[in-house]
Amino acid sequence: MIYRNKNRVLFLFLIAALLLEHACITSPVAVTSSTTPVHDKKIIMNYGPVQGSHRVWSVFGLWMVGRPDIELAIQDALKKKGGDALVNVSCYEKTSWFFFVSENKVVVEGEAVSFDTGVSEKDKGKQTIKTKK
Amino acid sequence: MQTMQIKDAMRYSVNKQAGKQTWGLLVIVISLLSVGLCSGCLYKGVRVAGIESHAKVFEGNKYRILGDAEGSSSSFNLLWLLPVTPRIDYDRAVGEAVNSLRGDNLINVRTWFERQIWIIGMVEILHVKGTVIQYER
Repeated sequence: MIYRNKNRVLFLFLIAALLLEHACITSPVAVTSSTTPVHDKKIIMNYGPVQGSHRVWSVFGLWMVGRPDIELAIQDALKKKGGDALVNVSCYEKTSWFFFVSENKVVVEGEAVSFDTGVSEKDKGKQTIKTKK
Repeated sequence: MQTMQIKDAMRYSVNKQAGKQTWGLLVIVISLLSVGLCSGCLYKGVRVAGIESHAKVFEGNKYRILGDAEGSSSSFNLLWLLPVTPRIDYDRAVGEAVNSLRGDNLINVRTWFERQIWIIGMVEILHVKGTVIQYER
């Protein structure tokens, strides 16, 4: 009877460990003014703060399948409100360990902006920023 | 009395099944670990190292885009501790990317760092990817 209960407890423990998060850590990666050079472009619209992420998984926390792609995280952020680039960007990485796998997620935060494509030489350097609420 | 016996038998059967599933799970985990370790690679991980609008100082406002390029710089540590090659170098990785398209600077720079731990040592690779530009003079 004790042996039977032991097996049941072990099985339930394994299932719980699979489902429940074991630990997680967040570490900063970088802070930058923009994702692309803006000194020669005119910002015509500021869509406000956006956040994007990209995640990959590691087997037993040892072998990563793929890589956390910051470019895909930026595209994910821009997809939410539109825009051409991000300004006032901060980026951090979050790692969560589960029982057999771990999750590595790169998160990008910033303000989505649109550029004027037809900027005349006279207007270069002047930035008229509209804010969309 | 008979009902009790049937209930006990059913409980025993369920517990036996749970025990078998647990052992099956453990066998799968041990097999996967063995396959991974037998390949010689003990660890492989990638972390994002940075994001920049440009790699070097801008020398002019007028430029043309040559295309996307990637450069890397790597190092090897024998027995995980003893460096036998030069250290990873950001400038070298950027230079490799820029020179691949004979440009002047790199914009939209994304950097990531890869670490592989093998039985005989550790490999570290710095990857730099971006858009190569050439100034119009």
